[in-house]
Amino acid sequence: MITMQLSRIWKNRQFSLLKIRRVVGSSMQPTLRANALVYATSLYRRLMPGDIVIINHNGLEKIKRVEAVQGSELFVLGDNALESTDSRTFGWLNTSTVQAKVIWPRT
Amino acid sequence: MKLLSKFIKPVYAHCDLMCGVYDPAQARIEAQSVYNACKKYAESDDSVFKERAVIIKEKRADLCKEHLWVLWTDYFKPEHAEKNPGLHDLVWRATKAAGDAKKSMDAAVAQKLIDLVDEVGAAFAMTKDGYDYNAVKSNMEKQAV
Repeated sequence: MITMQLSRIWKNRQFSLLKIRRVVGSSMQPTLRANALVYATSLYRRLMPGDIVIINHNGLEKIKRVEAVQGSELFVLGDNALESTDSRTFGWLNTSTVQAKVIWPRT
Repeated sequence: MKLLSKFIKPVYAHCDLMCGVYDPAQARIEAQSVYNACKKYAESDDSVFKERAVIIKEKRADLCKEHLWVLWTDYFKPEHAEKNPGLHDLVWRATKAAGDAKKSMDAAVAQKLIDLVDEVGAAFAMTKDGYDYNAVKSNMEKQAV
């Protein structure tokens, strides 16, 4: 398990024990409002539906909720479905795009 | 805290549609212009005026179609279509009616476009709390010739 984690971290080359980020945009409302601070870590065991993740997509760090995990692929959605561009538009993502999993706020 | 948060890197709760502003009033205004142009065309004997009425009507019908497309492709989401199973067919018929209105100077054809745009407006209102499409409709009816 530790080897797998290390290998994922090495592949991503984006390891950080704690990432603090400021939310921009409305796609995660009402869970995360604009300017909310989130704390996330690259050190997580696995991804589950319901987890909020920071992904690297088209050169931007984006925050979405995991809807489904199938093998090495993820389907992510914004909590505010009406104002979110997510896997409904850009499709499934590889888990390697995940930079970190949000640990706070706990939602 | 606010100042401090400015120094923290952003993470995007991303939406391609940054403005998030949609309103079927745009399509309704253009549909009303199409109707009024048809009426004014019929009432005029001035060939230059009639020619202008045709040109303006075609442009407005095109804009109406464009606004309907924006609602269809950008605003309406799968959840809306689930709640309103006739939505896709309705928008399809409305855009077709805009095409028909481009080809015709008949006010009845323009009225059909207005009626379908009104149905799209009502469908839109069902998805947005507090949005009053009847106000749009009533304002436009006051400007009908």
